[in-house]
Amino acid sequence: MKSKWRICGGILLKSIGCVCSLRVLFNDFYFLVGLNGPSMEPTFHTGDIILGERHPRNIACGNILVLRSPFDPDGYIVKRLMGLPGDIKRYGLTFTKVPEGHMWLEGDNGSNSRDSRVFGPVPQGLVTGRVLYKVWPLSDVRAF
Amino acid sequence: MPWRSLAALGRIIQVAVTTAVLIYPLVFQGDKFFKVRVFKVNGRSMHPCLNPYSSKCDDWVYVRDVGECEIHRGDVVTFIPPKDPSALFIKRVIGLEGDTVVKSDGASTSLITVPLGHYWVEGDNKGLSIDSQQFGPVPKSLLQSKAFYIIWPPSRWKKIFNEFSSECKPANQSEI
Repeated sequence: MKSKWRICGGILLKSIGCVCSLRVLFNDFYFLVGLNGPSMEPTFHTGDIILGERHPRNIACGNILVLRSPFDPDGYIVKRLMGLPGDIKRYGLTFTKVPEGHMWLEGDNGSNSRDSRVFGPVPQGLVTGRVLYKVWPLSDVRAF
Repeated sequence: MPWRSLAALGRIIQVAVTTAVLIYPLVFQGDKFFKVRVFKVNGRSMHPCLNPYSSKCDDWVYVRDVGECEIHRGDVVTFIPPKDPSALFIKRVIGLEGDTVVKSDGASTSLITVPLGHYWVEGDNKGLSIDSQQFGPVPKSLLQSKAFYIIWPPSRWKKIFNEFSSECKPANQSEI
């Protein structure tokens, strides 16, 4: 018969393993985050929760990215990728060529979004993740 | 007895998986736990502070996550260059936001004010360094860490001081 200490130790070890593996899964490969602000309406509203992947590869136009704000190192923004290096983007009467290593981002809510139309192309080094699924509210779960 | 050996195999696999799950975050993601890291410096762009011409082998530097420390003029920092998201550069901070710095294009020079939320970074080895003189101010968000010590080779073990080389100085900060 196993002693109760041994059983307790096994349970403890397994729970530590669970916590560590969940931590690795949800910090280094995937993340869940709640959104705030009107810039991505009607795709996302304030209070929606999304599941994203970290270190995305092969990003393409149309993907929704999570990146560090170019002006605030502690803030994150969610925007849609609309231009890669070499593309020429027009806003109003100004034409901008996206430089090497940069990208052009726009919010879906064109009239109420602070994005590349305001501050120009941003470096690709700011990207931290790509949105995969919207998981909340449950009535509007979908993949991107 | 096939069942007993199968159970032993299962036990071994269980122990291996548990160990891997426990060890992986500590070994491979340790920098995120402890917010420190060690880098090897390539190239001579920071001569004479890092990798001086007299040195036979490349320096290794000890860095701390940028969220843990304040950045002042003269600090050595690592950052992702704006033009290449896969690279990591190590340079010295010359100007903070609002400072006026000198940008030289060949023969002509111009004065530039560093915009809000950006840094002006330059290598100590002028002319051999790809830095803000080429790609302009670097957003704060691209900064990764701040260098504190040279830890290898042992003969060069020292703290990295917050000092400017003779040529790199902000234009409007004469008292530094």
